[in-house]
Amino acid sequence: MHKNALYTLLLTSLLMGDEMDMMLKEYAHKSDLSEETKKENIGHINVYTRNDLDRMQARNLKDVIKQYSFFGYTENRYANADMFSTGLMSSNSSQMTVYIDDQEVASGIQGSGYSILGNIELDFVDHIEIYMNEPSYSLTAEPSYVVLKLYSKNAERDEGGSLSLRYGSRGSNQENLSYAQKYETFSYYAYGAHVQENRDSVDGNLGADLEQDKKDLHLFATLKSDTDSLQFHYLKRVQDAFAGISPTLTPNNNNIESDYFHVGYKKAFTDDLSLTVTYDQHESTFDHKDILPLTGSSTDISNLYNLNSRVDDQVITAKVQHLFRFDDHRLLSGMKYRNNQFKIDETIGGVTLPQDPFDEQHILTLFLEDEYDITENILLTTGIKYANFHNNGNVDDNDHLSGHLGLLHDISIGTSKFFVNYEVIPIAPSIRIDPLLDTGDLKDQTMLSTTYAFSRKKESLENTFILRYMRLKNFNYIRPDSTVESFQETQKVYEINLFSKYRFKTDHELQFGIDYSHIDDSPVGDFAILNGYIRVFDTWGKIRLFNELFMHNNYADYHKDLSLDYSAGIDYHVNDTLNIAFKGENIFNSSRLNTTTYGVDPVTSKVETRPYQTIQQTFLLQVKYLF
Amino acid sequence: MSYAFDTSMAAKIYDKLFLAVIQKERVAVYTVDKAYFEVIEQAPDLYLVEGPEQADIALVNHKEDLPSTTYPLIFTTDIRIYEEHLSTIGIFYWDHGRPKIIFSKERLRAFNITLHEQWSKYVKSDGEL
Repeated sequence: MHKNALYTLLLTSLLMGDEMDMMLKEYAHKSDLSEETKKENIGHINVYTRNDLDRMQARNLKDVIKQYSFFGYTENRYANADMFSTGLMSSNSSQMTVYIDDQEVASGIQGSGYSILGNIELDFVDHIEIYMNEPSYSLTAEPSYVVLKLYSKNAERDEGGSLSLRYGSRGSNQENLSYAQKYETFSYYAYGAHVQENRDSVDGNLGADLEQDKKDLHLFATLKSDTDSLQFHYLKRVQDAFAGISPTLTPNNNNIESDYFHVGYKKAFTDDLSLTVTYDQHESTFDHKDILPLTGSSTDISNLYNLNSRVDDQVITAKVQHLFRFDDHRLLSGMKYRNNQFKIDETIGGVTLPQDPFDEQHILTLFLEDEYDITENILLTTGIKYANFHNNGNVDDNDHLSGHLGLLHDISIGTSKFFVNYEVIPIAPSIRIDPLLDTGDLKDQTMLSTTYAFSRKKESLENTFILRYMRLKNFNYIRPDSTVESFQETQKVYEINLFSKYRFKTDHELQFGIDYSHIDDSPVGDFAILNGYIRVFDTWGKIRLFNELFMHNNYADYHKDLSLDYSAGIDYHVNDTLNIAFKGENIFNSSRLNTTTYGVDPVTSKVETRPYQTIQQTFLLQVKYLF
Repeated sequence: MSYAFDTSMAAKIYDKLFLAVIQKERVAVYTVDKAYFEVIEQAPDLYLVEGPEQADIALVNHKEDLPSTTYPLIFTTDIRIYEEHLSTIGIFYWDHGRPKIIFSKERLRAFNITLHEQWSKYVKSDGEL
């Protein structure tokens, strides 16, 4: 009897201990998102919580972005992250807007900071939100197809210090140190990282290697009170430039050095009225030496083997927005002013090319958005935005008018959302002023999209189904002869997505997604993309396991390979201050092939693409110490 | 950025924490933090009282809210209050992105409180924080 009583007491104790552990895990899971994320009415969101990022051992933004079929994670021929990478363009990602907290990472010349932070390491990030097609103006007043929001860690939940060391394949290494502290009236978060990423080179022509190693020094800090926040950000990057501008894929030696600096201040006068002022500066130098003459460009540079260019880019932004609440309406009004200053100094074979007189833009944006509760369960959102571009040099001033409409209906079995969005995406100045590109009569890109989404959350099961139809007009496209044109045909994109998440016993989670896109009338013809993934998280006491398989199949005429990108990780929570983790990325060495880099084969004189894996097989060991 | 606050799960957790300390059927809680009013109201075995002198335990999240008159037992979510005020017996807070519970071994002893063995993994000496 005594034995039974003792056994019962022991069992009860263990169960209670486990119960509180479970409750804390559940509390962490439900508290993982920001208040803003909880606003389901601003569009379809994909959220990577702190817990997701930790369990995935996500170290770079590519670990998150690669799951999207239509844009996914690709790099351009300079080895930089680029959404719609084509040809010699230094970036073609102006459709993607990047924010850290509520401050944009801005680039005046590229139209988006994605080219700067496209594959940044994530140790300073708490969680990530990705919005497609239908973002509210409360998120961004920038014209976008995708909005990427990174929320930084802060003292509210990460007080104290953290030191993390990673070492991996090919001698890649990453070290970062952070500290956060909360005081009575303010808090700060400071972070510094060194990243050395070494990758295998890709074979060029005539024995040339297309190198793609990178080294980053990254500093980030925030200072926050209840009403004010100050953000400071610096990134210095030294990198190989892969194929660079070599028309024959024969670089002899090429590299890029860049410095990005951001400082921003936000003042919340009330819960509904705020002012944000930011300054972004990006300087970049590119040196390219080639085995063969740099022919193939519209500029006559035959028999010249060297190119040096320097890009200077400064952006000043001021934004004020006010939310008015009356009856069943929430009316957001806002005004944004942006000044872009940029220039490219380019020297080929010692000869300086003439600078384009277009080097400054003033952009004024006004927006109005109303959220109207038609009933308790039905919400109507309407938004209209006007942008005026005042350009100097020989570029005409222009105006854009865009808008969106959304209807959200909460029904007993889930939430139904319908959005229509029309957006005008201006041509990035880099395309107009790059002396190596031959630009004719370019037009601003337009995007008309309709989306229907249905999501259902029931206890531990979440399902989301999305249908999307999109019409893209005047897509910026570069031909192999360096001619940039606004593609005349209207591209049509048909997309269907299904995402599921199933949590079982708190410690285990299965995520599943399938995504099919069909694209008609694109510059490369009609094609389809099928993407799928399975992700499994398991926790066994102090050990966490992560398995992930991505399948990607591109049915374009030029590429029909199936890729299977499998990653897995294990981490061991030694104690409250020490964590050890091991991860393998692309373990089957069969990730999605990048087919955007092409060149003329010097032997056959044919233009050929050079497929390669952007995400290489990598194994990493990480040790993290908290203090 | 303000984080989402899961009131119902917080209510369940505080219910268990305060019952463990007070060991009564219903526990009187004093707090001036409006965000926690609903937490206490949703907790099945807790109820709010208007003054610290009527309370079995006070939940204090800001220094300026520390009761100045009669000191009941104090529980907090703020690390500085926990470190500086020896009448604070425990803390429920975020440590490097994870929610964490700590009861002070020395202070429990000083208040003559013995927790059930099931809580032993949450009891730490003051030097261990």
